[in-house]
Amino acid sequence: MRSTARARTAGLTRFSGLYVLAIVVLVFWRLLRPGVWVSSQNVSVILSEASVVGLLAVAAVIPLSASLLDISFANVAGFAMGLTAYLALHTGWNTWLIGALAVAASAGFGLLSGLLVAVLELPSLIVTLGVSSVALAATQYLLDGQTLYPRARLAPSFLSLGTGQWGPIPIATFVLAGIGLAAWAWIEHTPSGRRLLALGGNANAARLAGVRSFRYQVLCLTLSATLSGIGGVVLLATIGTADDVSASGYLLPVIAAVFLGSTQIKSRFNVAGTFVGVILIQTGIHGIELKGFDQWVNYVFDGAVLIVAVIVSRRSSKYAF
Amino acid sequence: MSSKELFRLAGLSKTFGATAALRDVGLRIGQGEVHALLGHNGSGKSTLIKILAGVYQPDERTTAHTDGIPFALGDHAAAHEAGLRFVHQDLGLVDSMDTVDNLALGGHYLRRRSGFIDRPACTRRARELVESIGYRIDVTMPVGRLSAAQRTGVAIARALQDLDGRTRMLVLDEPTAAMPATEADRLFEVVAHLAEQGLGILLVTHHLDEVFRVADVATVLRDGRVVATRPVEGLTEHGLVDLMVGDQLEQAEHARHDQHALTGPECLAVDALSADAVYDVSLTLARSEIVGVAGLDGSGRVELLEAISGNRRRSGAVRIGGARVAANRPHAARRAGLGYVPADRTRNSTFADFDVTANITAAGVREYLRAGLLSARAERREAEQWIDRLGINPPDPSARVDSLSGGNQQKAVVARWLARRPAVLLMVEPTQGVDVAARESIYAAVRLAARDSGVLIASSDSEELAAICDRVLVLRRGRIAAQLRGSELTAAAIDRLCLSAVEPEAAHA
Repeated sequence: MRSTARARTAGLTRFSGLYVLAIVVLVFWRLLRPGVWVSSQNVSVILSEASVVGLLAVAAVIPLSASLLDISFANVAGFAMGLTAYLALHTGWNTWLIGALAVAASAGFGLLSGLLVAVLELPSLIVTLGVSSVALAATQYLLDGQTLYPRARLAPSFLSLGTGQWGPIPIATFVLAGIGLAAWAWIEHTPSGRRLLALGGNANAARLAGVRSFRYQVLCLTLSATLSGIGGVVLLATIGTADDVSASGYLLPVIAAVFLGSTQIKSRFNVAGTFVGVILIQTGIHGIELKGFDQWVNYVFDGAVLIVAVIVSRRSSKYAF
Repeated sequence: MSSKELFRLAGLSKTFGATAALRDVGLRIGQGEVHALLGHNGSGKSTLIKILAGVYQPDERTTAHTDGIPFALGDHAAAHEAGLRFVHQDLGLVDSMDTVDNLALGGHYLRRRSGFIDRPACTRRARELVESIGYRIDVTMPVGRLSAAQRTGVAIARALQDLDGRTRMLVLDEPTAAMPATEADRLFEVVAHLAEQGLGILLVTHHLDEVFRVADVATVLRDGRVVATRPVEGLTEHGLVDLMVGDQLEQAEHARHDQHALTGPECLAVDALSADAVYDVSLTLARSEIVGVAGLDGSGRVELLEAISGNRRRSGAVRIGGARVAANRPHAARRAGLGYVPADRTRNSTFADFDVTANITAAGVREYLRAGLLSARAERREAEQWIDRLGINPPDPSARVDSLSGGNQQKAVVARWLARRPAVLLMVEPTQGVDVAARESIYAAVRLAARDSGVLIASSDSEELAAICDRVLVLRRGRIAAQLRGSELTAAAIDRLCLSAVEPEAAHA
């Protein structure tokens, strides 16, 4: 009894071949580029990039727990990145203050989505699709088609968020770990997280059991955008430049990671499973980048992985979209 | 009135497994005759209609005749060929489309030579058809925005369209179940009009007043047999009810009603509540009292409980333990001490992804906080306690709830509310889709709940109400028509009052 319980928490009773796939990917890239693959530097690079993907994945998995799909996270992250860079170049304010402002402004987009979904009872997919476009427009307005290079004006402590390391582990990874842990504890181990899951499992039953769906819809979409904003700020700290496209590229891999994650550990969207998905997808992407394929290969990979991820997750659970 | 025989059927039997749904049923319908088919839930009415429509096959090959021409029962195409047309209770209309499209989808579109739809011609045809059966409807308005009677009219028009005089008999399956009285009048004018044109009409209904209003002949089914076929002239309402209910023993099934005179303080007071299908209902409920709400489908039985629970718009006052509860706010009602076990378990109450434990604790998760986090152990202890008390099987708190039988799922849902010790517990069809054994444990759970709560149960099962309730309110057309308690509280009495055609005066319970 006890051992099966433990196996369940380790995800072994829900073993779906994902781990095998991860090993295959690793071996495949290893054969292509012997020697380059498993160095500690590589691990740091993967982890560093995975941190942004991971933050956005947590942003996506929170509303998904309540059966709401937020696809604005990538463009909201791009907005936070652009706004931070813009303010750094145009004001003399403290970098951390600027970052906080950008995160707060991002949260505003989530609040807007949440209110539209909760008050007008619109489908979250459509609402966040629209809000996503507005966020992209705001970014383009700020950047005016330019790539901004605010690195020199960003505080060193802020930059170390993206490039610094404690030992072999990037600091961004610690940020992700902290936020992920908090999200996991919230969803899995608090009453409000349970209500969120109830809403995701059966919205009617949740309402009839006394869950105020309005609140939770607004809350989880606002939280999602807040974390997206944090993801965007960390991304800026990592690469030091801001443009209006680099954040958009996170859309597909993140959704793929979240769907793959829904087959892991629990038979629904969950934070811990999402991290498994993130690691797998990140190793694949990193391999492609090492090999130096053209950009279009990246797009094919992203698209194919997303579709495969949804196929895999369909087999083990059911979603409303 | 029935001059010439139009439809004849004899010796029809149907069994499902070990249950005989129909036994040697015969039916004759004359030309231009409105023939009412009456019977209680489970009397075999629906089975008969489904065999006529060709959905079910009879046990043995059985032939029916229209105009003396034989056809085999249980074959959809043969029934259509023989001129039988159906308007089922679920009308099967596409709400987002207008009458023109709904009629064309049931038949065919008129086209231009180019192959494209000739819209004006279709519209003209639809308007003529609808007017020919006596309706005036805007045929270009989406069907979903028409009234209930108009929608039924569209369904009738669809059933009667196309075919060139081959339509012989129209079967209407409870057409007024969800219709206000004034709209029903409109429908019956149409029915009379169609009968005058020589069609046979088979009208399935629960409402005895409709029988006296439109029918020429009535056939009563009970336990799968035809107990009588009689001209409506000369029948009395009382006589019809006797035929439908039979001579069941009219004695209280058990002694509980009498010994249970002692009840606690008032826990629920409903004053002049109106909602969809519910008009000016007032009632009170005391702690440790179990009160039933009976009524035919469409009587407002379910809507009343939904409105009290805050899940349906309402006017009027609801007080729990003396404190007024805001309307339309389920959460406020829950916080005021109201528990609600809705109908349709899969849709409205179980969390299929959750285990039994999380299903039981779902309405009060906050109770299981230990040091800021949910304590799996506290939740589990609660679940184990209810698994034990209600006999949930398998007794595994971490089993996914959708792996349980319907009865055991329902026990978990009931436990969810018992665990909260609500002041008032509302239950709608608490044993819907529940096997016999689980039924008894749910009744036991209801009695357990009644130690701390007042329980209000809406059910279509009169035996259930007679077995567990201290008193029963009978709703008719949205109003409380009668109240039964003590030795007068029997299943037969409930049925009798549900079926009675007398319009209720405003009664207060």
